[in-house]
Amino acid sequence: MKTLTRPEQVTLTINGEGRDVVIYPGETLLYTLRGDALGLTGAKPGCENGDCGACTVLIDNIPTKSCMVLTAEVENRHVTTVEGLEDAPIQHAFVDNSAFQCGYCTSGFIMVGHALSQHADAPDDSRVVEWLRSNICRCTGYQEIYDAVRSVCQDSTAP
Amino acid sequence: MIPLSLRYYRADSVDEALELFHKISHEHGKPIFYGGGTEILTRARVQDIDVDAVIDLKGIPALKIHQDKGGRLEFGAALHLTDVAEKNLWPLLTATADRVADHTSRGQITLGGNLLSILPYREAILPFLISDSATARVAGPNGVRTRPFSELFDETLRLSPGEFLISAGVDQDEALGPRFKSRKMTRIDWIDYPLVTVVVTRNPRGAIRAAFSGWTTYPFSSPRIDRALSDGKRSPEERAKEALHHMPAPAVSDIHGSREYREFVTEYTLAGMLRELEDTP
Ligand SMILES: Cc1cc2nc3c(=O)[nH]c(=O)nc-3n(C[C@H](O)[C@H](O)[C@H](O)COP(=O)(O)OP(=O)(O)OC[C@H]3O[C@@H](n4cnc5c(N)ncnc54)[C@H](O)[C@@H]3O)c2cc1C
Ligand code: FES
Ligand code: FES
Repeated sequence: MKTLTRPEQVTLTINGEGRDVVIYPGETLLYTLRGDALGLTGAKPGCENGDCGACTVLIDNIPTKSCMVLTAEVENRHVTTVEGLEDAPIQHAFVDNSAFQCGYCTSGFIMVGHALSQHADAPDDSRVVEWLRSNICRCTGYQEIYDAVRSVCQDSTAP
Repeated sequence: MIPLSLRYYRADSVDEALELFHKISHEHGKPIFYGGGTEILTRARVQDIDVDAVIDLKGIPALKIHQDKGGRLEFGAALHLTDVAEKNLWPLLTATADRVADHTSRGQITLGGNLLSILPYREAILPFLISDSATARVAGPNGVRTRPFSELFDETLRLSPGEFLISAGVDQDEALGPRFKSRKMTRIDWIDYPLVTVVVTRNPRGAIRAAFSGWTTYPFSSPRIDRALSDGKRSPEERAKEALHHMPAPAVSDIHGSREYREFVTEYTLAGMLRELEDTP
């Protein structure tokens, strides 16, 4: 059994490194990541209600809205934030396709796109759309975001 | 902000979860069983829920069961909706659960959390409501019992305090026999709570069953609706119109749509689904 009933130091695996951090049991992962101890502000607070996806990170390579998960849940799991993507193809694809404007939603979209590009199965177009529907952008067009993500995923229809 | 004082417990077994709930309640705490946590955390953030301890069920192997064994399909309550869709043991459940929320959220929402949500929708329950063999395995202070869904469900799955859902099951023959359609109608966006979600099955003898979410404050099915929809002498449009007379409650008017709009959308959706089910050989 795992118990966390008061603030306690835990070791989290973030972007491949063990990080010691004191967390409260009721703290969301979004809050922990952005706090002074870790200072990983790539995941953005938007709605904090599960709707916008700006806070998306990967937990064991699965896109996860970090406003809807307690940090206590992710001990022994691998958390990847946008800061952990070093020169990943998806980052270049966003630049090449002009897939952002203000950039607030961008890290969330990038994390979803990166996870999809790493997926074993080549996604078809409807799958790319379905994954991207998890995130909201309020100022640029979705087409550029789609094009950026599509460009880094294998094409399931390719011969 | 979520109360930082919230206590977190992750149980490794059914007994441990039951003991924790009992112990915390006994000490005047306010525990809640925790699946994906998406509803609990979003409600806690706006102080809409009075709890001080969460008991995470996701580490319990019995709640992760996901199998087709001895003619029964079993779905653990801690499976994420994306797990259910990926394994696709029951295509009707996949089609319905795969329209809940968005893809990322479905990777966090659990089947148990959706079935026991306090929200009116609980769309993943619809396939179970129209399956006579559907059962729920429930753990509680008096042990583990398997009960027919029909006995437990009355607007919600009626679990007593301290009880939690381990898994839900259905006979493979019943699940995979009938043809089906599942359609979620939203106001504008693809991702939204339903204006109405309709699930319809048709068995080889032509009998129709239907279940609805979004029409009123709870999901439902009804033998009277099924009888009206199964009357093969009438056109799909006539049957859909008739079915609306047998709804257990009037359609709600809310932010997603007025009562009249809901009725209109439900009627034409239902008629279209009947036509598709009956037209294709
Ligand atoms: C962004 C977003 C969009 C959504 N869209 C939809 C939608 O389109 N359609 C829809 O139907 N729903 C939708 N929902 C609602 C969601 O399906 C429910 O809120 C569901 O409860 C969340 O599941 P969870 O596993 O996160 O539950 P939790 O937050 O863990 O728990 C929810 C409730 O279920 C109880 N519970 C959880 N597991 C068990 C168990 N095994 N036994 C007993 N009780 C249990 C908890 O005690 C709690 O009361 C949406 C939610 C979000 C966040
Ligand atoms: S901030 Fe997490 S989904 Fe919007
Ligand atoms: S680029 Fe501004 S919200 Fe998406």
